[in-house]
Amino acid sequence: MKLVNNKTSRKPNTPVNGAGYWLLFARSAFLILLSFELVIRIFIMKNPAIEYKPGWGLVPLENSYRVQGLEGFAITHLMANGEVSTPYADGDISIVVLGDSTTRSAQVSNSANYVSLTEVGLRARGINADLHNLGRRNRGVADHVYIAPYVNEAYQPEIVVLQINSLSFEMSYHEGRESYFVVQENGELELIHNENPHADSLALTNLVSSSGLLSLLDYRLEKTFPQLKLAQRQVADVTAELPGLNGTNGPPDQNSQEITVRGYSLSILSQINALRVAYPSSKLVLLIIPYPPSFVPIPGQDASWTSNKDHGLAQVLERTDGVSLVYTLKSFQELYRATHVLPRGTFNSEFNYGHLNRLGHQAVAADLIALLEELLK
Amino acid sequence: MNFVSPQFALLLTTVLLFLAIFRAAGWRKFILLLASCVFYAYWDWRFLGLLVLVTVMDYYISIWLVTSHNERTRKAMLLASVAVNLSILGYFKYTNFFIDSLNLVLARAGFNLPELQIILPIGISFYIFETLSYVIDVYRRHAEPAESLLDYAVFVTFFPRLVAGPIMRAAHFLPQLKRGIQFSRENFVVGAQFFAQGLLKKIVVADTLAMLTDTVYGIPWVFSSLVVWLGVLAFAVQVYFDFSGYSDMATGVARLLGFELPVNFNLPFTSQSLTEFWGRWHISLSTWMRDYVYIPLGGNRHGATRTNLNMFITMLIGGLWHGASWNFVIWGGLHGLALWAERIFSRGKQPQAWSWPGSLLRALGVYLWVAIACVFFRSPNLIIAAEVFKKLLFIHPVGAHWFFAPAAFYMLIVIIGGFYLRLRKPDGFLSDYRQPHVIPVIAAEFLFAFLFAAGGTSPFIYFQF
Repeated sequence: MKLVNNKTSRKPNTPVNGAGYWLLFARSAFLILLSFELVIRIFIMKNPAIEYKPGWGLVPLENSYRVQGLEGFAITHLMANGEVSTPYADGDISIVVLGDSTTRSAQVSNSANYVSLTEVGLRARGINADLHNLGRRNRGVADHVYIAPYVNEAYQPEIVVLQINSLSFEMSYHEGRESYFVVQENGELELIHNENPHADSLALTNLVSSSGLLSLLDYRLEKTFPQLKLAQRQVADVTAELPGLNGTNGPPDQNSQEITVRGYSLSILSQINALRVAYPSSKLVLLIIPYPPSFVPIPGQDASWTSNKDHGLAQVLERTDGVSLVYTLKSFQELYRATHVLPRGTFNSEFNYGHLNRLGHQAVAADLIALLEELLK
Repeated sequence: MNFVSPQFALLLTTVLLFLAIFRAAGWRKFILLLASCVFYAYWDWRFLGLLVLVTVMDYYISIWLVTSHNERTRKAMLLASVAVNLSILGYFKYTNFFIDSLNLVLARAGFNLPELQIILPIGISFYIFETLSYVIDVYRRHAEPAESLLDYAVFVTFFPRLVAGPIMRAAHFLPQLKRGIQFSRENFVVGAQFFAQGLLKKIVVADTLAMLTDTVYGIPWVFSSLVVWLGVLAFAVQVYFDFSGYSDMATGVARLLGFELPVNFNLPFTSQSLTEFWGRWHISLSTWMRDYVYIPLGGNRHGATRTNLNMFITMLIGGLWHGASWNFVIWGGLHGLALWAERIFSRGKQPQAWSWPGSLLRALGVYLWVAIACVFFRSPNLIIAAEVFKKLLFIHPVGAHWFFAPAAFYMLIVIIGGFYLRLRKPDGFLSDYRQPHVIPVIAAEFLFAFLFAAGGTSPFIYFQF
């Protein structure tokens, strides 16, 4: 056989005219769209239908599924109130885990996220705990405070784990958000809540969610032309400056002025107090999952594990009474030393970027299990 | 102005609209010229002057070359044109390279010449080579001179391929210009098909691979040897999809305007030898180097050793054309040496018959060599290149693990897809623009490109040359 193909026997196609053309045109278009839809909803994206529940806001329907393949790949099973299902649905000790998309962890399967791993780990240690994963994208402290009565009523948690970072505190002062804090003259925080302004466009959102192709199109439109997206998602991903920081909201460090350190700490502590008041019957566990350092050298920047804001936050919270802290820095460092795998980033995402991967979840779960075991002794 | 930008979409739409309104040939040429100037000036309007200088000078020299019958005068005019063109290219592109290289030598004596603040005009390597080939062809009487300065200016500045090729010959373009700009449904459909195909190659494949290669070549010491190998293998595929994607888009835009550009890539990773590879990779440059460097050096007319030496020199110059750094010189030199070795071991015979698994292994061998040589092409400097080679040679194999699956997927696609296209030639599917499935398929390509584009669009790699 010759490497260069000289096939010339193919008959030229006969052009089609008139109605026949448009019929075949429509058939081709339909088959293409159908194949797009199938591939996307199986491998790339399929959002669940959502409903509006007072207090809980826009949540997926109970017993629905989400397919996510843009970062990692997983099919997430969702329960009532948007809860991500865990291996066990009953238990003597109710533990609620609140957090953002890191906790929701759509990048790994239900059984591989740290909440599920913690539940399994505690059971293996003879602790009959029932963990509820209420992680939702883009949540801040104010959101966790607002939802507290509903969480307390639905789950009566003995322990509330709050996965937070410095952004969780910063975004809680932004007026554009669904829930946010206002600092009153006496220094107290007032919680303001706006009913989800997008609840009335539910029908359109669910229409988009019914199709993988439309969902992905909506996602891409949102990324490319934010002003043209088909369906509204959640509140804007914006941050605000922490009060008392004179325009800087960095962590306390050796070079900062005393007032800045105090302002930062006060700002954090007032929000922690709001959380204590919101969950009066529960022990509070604060979980900080730091970002690994950037390996790309940036002139003038210290790219170490401890040079980020979250490390500063952990230093403040370490000294805070009434809350327990899980800070996974050392576990992440140990994970990298042992396996040379970083806790963030998946097989189809950028290096060291994005959400936790399977090993990252395992590291977080190990730390969380250790602390919860201690608390529940 | 990048092809993948709203500004370009606006420019192209405006041009098509004006061309549809103004039907006189002269007006249409003027519109094309104006659009090309806007396209170029969008980057840096100051370099339009350079473009004007080169265009006017070479046009009038070509007229002189045709009208003069004194061979000595003709030769002097040719040399003057070549000297000015190469001086412009040399000044803007190679001055600092020369200074840096000189500093390496002078450093021992304690001297250090300061670098000059020179901005490299975009596309200069491409349009200088085009004007050079025009003047040389007219001198050799291989081509007719342009009928007017406007025609020649349209040729030099023709915006679809102004900044990154394909490198055109006047003999290919000017007859098309003379024939006139022709709108047709065929041109529109075929042009859109080329553009969509190029868009897919660029923003879906090349930009996705850039996520891996940019990181690996940025901080190679961080990664394990296996990750660096993946990055190195991926870069060869990336640069192919990036540049052939650009060429496809340029071809598509030109076709919308009624022009045909030369084929620039022809499944290079199915090549059975390095010689064949260079006949399928950046074809417009390879043929330019053959016609204006290799053959004038003597080509294959003076025995095997001289032929190989000529080829080596040609590849060195080809490497230097790509960029003013020792990396590119080494890259070109490595390819020259490999071609030399290949000719010695194959005794000038090229494999013809398809055999399994021989053909696949030969293609993989070529791909492997191209990818390894590309370490010098991609590395920003020789220090990074050395770090990459340390990893490739497992000198420091330990580092971060990161298996970026899309890279492996696209590498498989390029090998398997390349062989499929070469052996099966499924040329009936989109070749007849009148078939009812063609437009939905093209629309699907655009939709696919939008849906699966990588996170960010990086500039075309060949824009830097």
